[in-house]
Amino acid sequence: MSGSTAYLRKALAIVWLHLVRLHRYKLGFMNMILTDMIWYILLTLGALAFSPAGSHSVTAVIIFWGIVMWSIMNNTIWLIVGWVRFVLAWRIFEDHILHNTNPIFLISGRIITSTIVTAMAVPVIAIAFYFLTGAPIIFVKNIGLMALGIVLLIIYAALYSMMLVCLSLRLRIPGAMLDITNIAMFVIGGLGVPLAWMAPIIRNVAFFIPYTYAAEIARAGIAGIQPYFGLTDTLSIGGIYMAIMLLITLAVIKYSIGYIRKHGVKGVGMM
Amino acid sequence: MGVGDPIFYIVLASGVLVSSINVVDYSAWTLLDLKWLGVLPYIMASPPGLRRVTMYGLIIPAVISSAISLTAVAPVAIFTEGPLGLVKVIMVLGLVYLATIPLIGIAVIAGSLSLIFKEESFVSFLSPLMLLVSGVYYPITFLPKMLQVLSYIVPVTYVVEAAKILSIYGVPPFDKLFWIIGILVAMSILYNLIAYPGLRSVEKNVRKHGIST
Repeated sequence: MSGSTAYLRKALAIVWLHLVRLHRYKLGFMNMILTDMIWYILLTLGALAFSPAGSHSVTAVIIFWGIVMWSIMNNTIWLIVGWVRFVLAWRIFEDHILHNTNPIFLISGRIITSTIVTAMAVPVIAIAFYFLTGAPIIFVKNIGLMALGIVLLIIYAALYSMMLVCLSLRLRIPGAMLDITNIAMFVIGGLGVPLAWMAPIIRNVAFFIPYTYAAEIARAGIAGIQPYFGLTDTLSIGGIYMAIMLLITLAVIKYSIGYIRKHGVKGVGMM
Repeated sequence: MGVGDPIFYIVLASGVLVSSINVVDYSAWTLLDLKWLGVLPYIMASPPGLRRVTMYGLIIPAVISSAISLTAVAPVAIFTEGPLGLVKVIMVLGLVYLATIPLIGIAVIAGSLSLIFKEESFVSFLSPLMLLVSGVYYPITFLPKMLQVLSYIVPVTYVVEAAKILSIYGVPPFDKLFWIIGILVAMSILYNLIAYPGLRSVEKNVRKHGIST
């Protein structure tokens, strides 16, 4: 079997595994969708309660989609990083190494779960909010741009998660505990607020966070808000960030797997 | 929201929320963790047994995590209200501990379902649901009638109410706080009267049919 065919078969097996899990754990799957939906309601209502009543039609769109983007990022990271515990508890980490399959890629397959959960939860809540508030949440200006921004966001979150997974195995700290930046990303990661609306000091930080560019692209598609640097430059910067993160992640994975092959799996998951 | 000092209230209520989420999540996930690790049969065979390990064994982590959560908000409380702010944080911590008892009852019963069904945890929606109905960030009256009814049976609602009372008054009206304490004590008794036999029937089921994985 050629190298590329073997990689394809492994990738398909990983996709198959995660889809089978979703099918087998139907209640868990429904629970994830329900949990997501409640968080959307909770956070959006909370944010709207603190925003001026007259500006709900404008702010509701920004707030709602900001929360959706933050939740997509947060879900991706938590579902990937949190799964380290499961993989270690079930002792399937070493099995995959023995079968010449990178366990980090197995874990990153949780991206399938998080994407499906989001795809099920967001439309329901968006339609519900539209009928409840009357805010034009569901009328996006350019669905292609919105999808591009969200895909970029998922890629950044997945790459960051894979680095956290490697770190958790190296540092022996539960993966989820390494994730200390998520909440701050709503503001300084440009997910909740467009760059143009930010205070200069926060904007200067946001420039260095990749999520900012994904969110700017998505917002251009959702509400037609022109990105701070213009669409073309934002796309270019977003692409450069993705390439840099990809290279760093691959290097970290290579180092991490090399370390594990030499020293064994030492992560939190088994008592 | 009808609170005297919104910053003090938000800080205090956030401490309550984080503590409650930790208690519920930890309690609900513990049984699943034990199932994954394959140690449930040993726990069942041990002298304390499954019920004592799950019910009482969860109290210590809950006490520690609540203390940590509220310690994190204490500096802001002291900054906004001085030494009285610290006293209020300690009072809320006491109420959180009281609410922990019924919360563990709810979470353990919900978590034990993962032993019967061939499922992962499917009760993690409980934490955000409790936050939704507890009236932390908006009055309960904003919610649909059904959720309003649900809010009355959730212990966190009463701790949040206590946080509101503490942020309105310099010296809180103790009669209102005693009412809340009374409700939480009643909930502790009632929920654990349901939880303990519930867990016993789950244990019986598991002994008979084995653990579903």
